[in-house]
Amino acid sequence: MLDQFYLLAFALLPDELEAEQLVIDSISGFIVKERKWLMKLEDEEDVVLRRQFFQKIVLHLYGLGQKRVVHFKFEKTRAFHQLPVKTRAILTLRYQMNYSPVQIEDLLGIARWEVVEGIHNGRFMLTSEQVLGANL
Amino acid sequence: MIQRENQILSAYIDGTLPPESQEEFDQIIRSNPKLMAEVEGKRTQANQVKTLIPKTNLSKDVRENLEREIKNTLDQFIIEEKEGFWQRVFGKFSR
Repeated sequence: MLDQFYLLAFALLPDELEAEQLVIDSISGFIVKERKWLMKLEDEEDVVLRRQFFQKIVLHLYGLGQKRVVHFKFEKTRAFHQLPVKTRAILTLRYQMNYSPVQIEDLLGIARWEVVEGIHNGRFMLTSEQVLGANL
Repeated sequence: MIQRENQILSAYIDGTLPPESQEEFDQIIRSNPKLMAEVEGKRTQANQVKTLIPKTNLSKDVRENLEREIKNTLDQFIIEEKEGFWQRVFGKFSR
């Protein structure tokens, strides 16, 4: 689970230290915020428990990453990092972690059309190298 | 019309068609070699995307640091001990 959080964090903030801190802050923030919910989860099955955790922390991580990326300065030397942050998150979940569009919709808390648009446009922009000037 | 066909092809490759349409399109492709070739072309493009997304591995040091920080937060905020609870969530990682 930590590997996937780190991968997603790095897609949003392409710097190892920033990505590491984003994961720490997301999980810590989640634990503090959801303490009551966490204490009620004991009887869930392991698979269900992990899925719930993963989903909630990804949502937390994505929200926090979106805020931090505004202040984060980095050289957009790779085409991928010229894509909008939402598109980077969608492409990472879809193509690196193999989540379905329906799952991505739940994980990022966005509408189906946004996922579909992100996949189509992101794929097109990456493969056509038409990402210059994309807004973060 | 061509643009619409392209959109459907892309949606098929990306897995964003509704399941029933996905199956219907499977059947259409099987009976149409020209369409099959187009699908393969799009599939190659989709595979190319995977190579264009930068990969990074979680190093041993970073993993240990992450686990230590999370454990600290758990110790600080989750007062009530639940036997094996965190191991169930994070696998081998336990308090």
